[in-house]
Amino acid sequence: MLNKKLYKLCLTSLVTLSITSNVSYGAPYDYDKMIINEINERLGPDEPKIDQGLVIIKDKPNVFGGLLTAPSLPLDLEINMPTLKYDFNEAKNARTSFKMATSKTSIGSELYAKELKEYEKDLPITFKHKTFKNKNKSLKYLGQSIGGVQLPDGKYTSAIEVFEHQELGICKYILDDFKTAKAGLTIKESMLRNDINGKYTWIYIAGIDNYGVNLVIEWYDEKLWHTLNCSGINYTENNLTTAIKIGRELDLNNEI
Amino acid sequence: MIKLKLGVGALVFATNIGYAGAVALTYHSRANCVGFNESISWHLGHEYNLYTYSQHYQYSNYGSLLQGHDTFDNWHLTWRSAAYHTNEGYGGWKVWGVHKMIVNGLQKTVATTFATNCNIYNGWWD
Repeated sequence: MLNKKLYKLCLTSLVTLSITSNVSYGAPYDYDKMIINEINERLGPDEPKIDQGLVIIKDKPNVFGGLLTAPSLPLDLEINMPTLKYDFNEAKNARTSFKMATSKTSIGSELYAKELKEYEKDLPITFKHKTFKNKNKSLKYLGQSIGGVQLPDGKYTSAIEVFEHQELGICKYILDDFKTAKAGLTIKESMLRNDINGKYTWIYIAGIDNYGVNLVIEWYDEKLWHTLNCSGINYTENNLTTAIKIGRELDLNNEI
Repeated sequence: MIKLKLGVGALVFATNIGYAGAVALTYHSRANCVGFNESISWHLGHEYNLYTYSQHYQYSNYGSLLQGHDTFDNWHLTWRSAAYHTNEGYGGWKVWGVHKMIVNGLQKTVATTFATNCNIYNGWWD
């Protein structure tokens, strides 16, 4: 009888301990709203909050209709033509990206190659993604990798495909699962375009011509944030037209 | 002592599977790393304006909050931004990291990371 009571007592204690232990550490990525609010309060009034996703400040009426899709307007690069912004740091970054992907001698390029090799067959990511390998003859596929946040189950929130283009240089197509990464971006509608299949599009070109240039196109939809980042040595307006065309193809390919 | 340090280093290395941070930006938080808690962002060889904020909470085995505090690595141009505390992280800690950056001409809160252990560090050892 005493043994039975002892057994019950032990069992109850074990169950209680197990429950309190779970409460103590919680489920993976089990966000406590109180903590999120506290973090957001510390971010300041004008800074993008965690978990907010994309917030468009509507300062451009009668151009974009929907929240995340814009009516298909003809591509007119004469209007608000993005120009090359002089930036030494961007130039260095562009040059490094280019060298790490093309050189085979530095420690950086070795790690770069190892990372691409590591994820050659499989991308442990939080979303579905269709590769662009062999979809465009002007793009030589160099490999794929992961980025962003690694979750407790080992999956990452970003996927990256790397290509080489004769004029554009080394192009990375980055897809970000911004919802899972708890990311935030606030942007004025007047800063955006709609070049990539009518989706909100941001174009940024910075660096130093004949040294290193980053040509970046970001576009956003409900599921993912997309970035095409081409790092080359030179820049011409023709490069932007080419990159936009590639961006449109990448976007359509990824529609599953 | 050196052998012990090498041993610990090898153990940490052995738990890492693969590489990250050479091709693109990556963000992590780590908790209970026997001496530190941290949140960190990096991209090898590339410099950005980065800001990393890290909140650390310690809970008892029974779920009650024992202590909490925060730290940050302020905005600066760097390839690696780390907000960390040493002399803690010996058990029961939760770490929340907020990673902000100015990239492609935009300021973003690029990720929020969470950790209850020291396992997640998928990259080369720095």
